[in-house]
Amino acid sequence: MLRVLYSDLRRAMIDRNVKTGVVISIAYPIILFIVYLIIYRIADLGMAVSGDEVISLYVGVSPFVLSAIITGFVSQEYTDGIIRNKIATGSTRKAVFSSITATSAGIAAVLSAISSAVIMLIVLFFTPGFQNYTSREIGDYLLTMTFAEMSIAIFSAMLVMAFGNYKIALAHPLAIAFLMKVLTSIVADKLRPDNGPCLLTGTRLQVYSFIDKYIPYSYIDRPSPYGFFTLVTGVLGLTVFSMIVGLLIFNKKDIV
Amino acid sequence: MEYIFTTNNLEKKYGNFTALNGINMKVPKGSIYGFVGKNGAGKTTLIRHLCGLQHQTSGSFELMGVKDSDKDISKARRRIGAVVESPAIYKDMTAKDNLKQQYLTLGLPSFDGIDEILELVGLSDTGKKKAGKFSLGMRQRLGIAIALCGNPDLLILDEPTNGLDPQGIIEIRELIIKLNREKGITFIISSHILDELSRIATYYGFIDKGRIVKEMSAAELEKECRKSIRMKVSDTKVLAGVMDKLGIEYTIIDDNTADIFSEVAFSKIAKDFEDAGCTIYTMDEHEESLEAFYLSLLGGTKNA
Repeated sequence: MLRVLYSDLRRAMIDRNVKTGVVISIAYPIILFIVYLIIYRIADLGMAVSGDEVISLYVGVSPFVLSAIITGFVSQEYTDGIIRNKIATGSTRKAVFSSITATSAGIAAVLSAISSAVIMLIVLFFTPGFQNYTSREIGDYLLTMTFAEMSIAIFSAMLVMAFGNYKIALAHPLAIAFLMKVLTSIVADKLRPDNGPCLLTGTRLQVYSFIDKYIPYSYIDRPSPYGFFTLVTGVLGLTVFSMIVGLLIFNKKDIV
Repeated sequence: MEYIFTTNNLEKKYGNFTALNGINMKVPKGSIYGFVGKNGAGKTTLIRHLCGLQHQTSGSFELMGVKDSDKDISKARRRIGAVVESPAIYKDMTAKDNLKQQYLTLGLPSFDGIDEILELVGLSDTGKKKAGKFSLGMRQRLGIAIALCGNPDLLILDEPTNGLDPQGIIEIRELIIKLNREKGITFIISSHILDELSRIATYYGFIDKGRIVKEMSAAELEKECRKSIRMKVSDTKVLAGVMDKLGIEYTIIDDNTADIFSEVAFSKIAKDFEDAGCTIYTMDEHEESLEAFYLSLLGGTKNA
C-alpha cells in the first residue's frame, strides 16, 4: 500500500484541486476578516474585531470547501482512469482505497493547518486577542477541528470511491456537508438555546446529544463543550465507519 | 504451446443480460492476439475481468499460471500493462512525470529506463508540455508508455487505434510489432477494425454475443481467407444449383454475386450456366477478406 500512497501523495502536491484548496484556505479567512473590519467600521461599533470571531471565520465553511476539494481530487482519479490503471497493474483494491482515503486525510490536515496558521496570524497581528477562550482551549479546538476535517475528508473520499461510477455521486459529499451543517445547527440550537433552558427529553435528547457529541460535522462551528476524548471518539467513529463501508463496497463493485 | 492467459467458462451477467457467456479462450505466450468482435460483443468486459476491474458471475481464468481466486493474482497483474478504453494519464503532469508516477505505483526502485521508454514511443521531446495538451495519438502513445513501465510480459490494448489519424495508426502498429519482436511482449489487442488487426496479429480470437466463436493462428486464418473467383451472374440461385451439381465450394454474397473456391475451366462453366439459363457478367480473382471470414463465422451464407 505504501508505494501507492507515495504515488498519491506526490500527485496531491501538484493537483489543481488541492492547489485551489490551499488558495481558499489562505484567502478566505483574510477576505472575511476584511469584510468584518468594513462592517465594524460602517456600523461604527467602536470596538475591534476579537479573536473569538476571527477563529470561526473559516471553519464554518471548511466542510464545504473540503468536500468540494476531495470530490474533485478523487473523482479525477476515476475520470482519468488512474484507479483502473492501478488495479490493472497489480495494486489491490484495499491498497488503492486505503491510499486515497489516507491522502485525502493528509490533504485535509494540510489545508486545516494552513487556515489555522492564517487565522492565528490575523489574531496575533490585527486583533486584541481572544476574550472568552484560553490558549489551551484554542489549541484543543484547532486540533479537534483538524481531526474532524480529516474524518470528513475520509468520509467524502469514501463516497466518491464507493459510488464514483455515477456522476450524481459527485454531488453526495457536498450535499451531505450541507445537510449536516443544517442538522448540527438545529441540534446545537435545541441543546443550547440562546434563551431559556433545553426543553428536550427522553429519546430525542439522547439522539440530539449523540449527534452533537459524536458527529464530527458538529465540531466545526465552535469550540465544543465536550472533552477531547469524546471528540476523538466521534472522529474515529466516522473514520472507521467510512473505511469499513467503503472497503466493503469498493471491493465488490465493478469499476468502469 | 504455452499460454499466458486462459479462461474457463467465464460468465458475466448484468441482471438478465449475459455479457460473457461461458467464454473459453487461450492466449499463446509471445503472440499478438487479435481479439475480434463487433461493439458490444464482450471484448472490453473480458479485458476488465483480466485486469481485475470486474468480478465474474461464474467460471474462472488463469493469468500467467495464477488462478483468479489466488491471492497472488495481484502479483501476476504487476507483470501486465493495460490501456483499457482510454489511456490512464495524469493530465496535469508531463509525460516524464506520468511515467515516474507509474514507477512509484509499481514500487520500482529507481527511475531508470524512463527516457528509454519515452524514446521508444516517440515522446522524448515533449519536455514540459502537460499531458492534457497532448494530441489523441500522443496520449495513446503515452498510455502505452505507462503500460510499458516495469517491463511487462503482457500488454492489453483495448481499441488502441480508436480516434487516431492514419499516421497515428501506423505509428501504433509499428510500435506494437517492434515491442513484440524485440522485447517478446505478448499483446492482447481488442478491435473491431479487422483490416488493422490483420496487419499485426499472429493469433486471433473471434467473439460474438459473449462467446468465443473461433480461435486460430494467423497462418490458419490465411488458409481460410484463401483466394476465390468472384462471379457476377444474373441469378445466384441458379449458380448455387450449378455449383452444387459440380461439387464446387461457393459463397453467395448477394442476389448477383458469389465467390467460388476452385480452379475452374471457364468454357465448361460457361456452358453449364448457359444450359441452366444463367448469364455470367464478370469473373475476377478475389481474396476473401478478414471481414468476410468474420461474417461467415457469425452465421453467413458460406456453403461447402
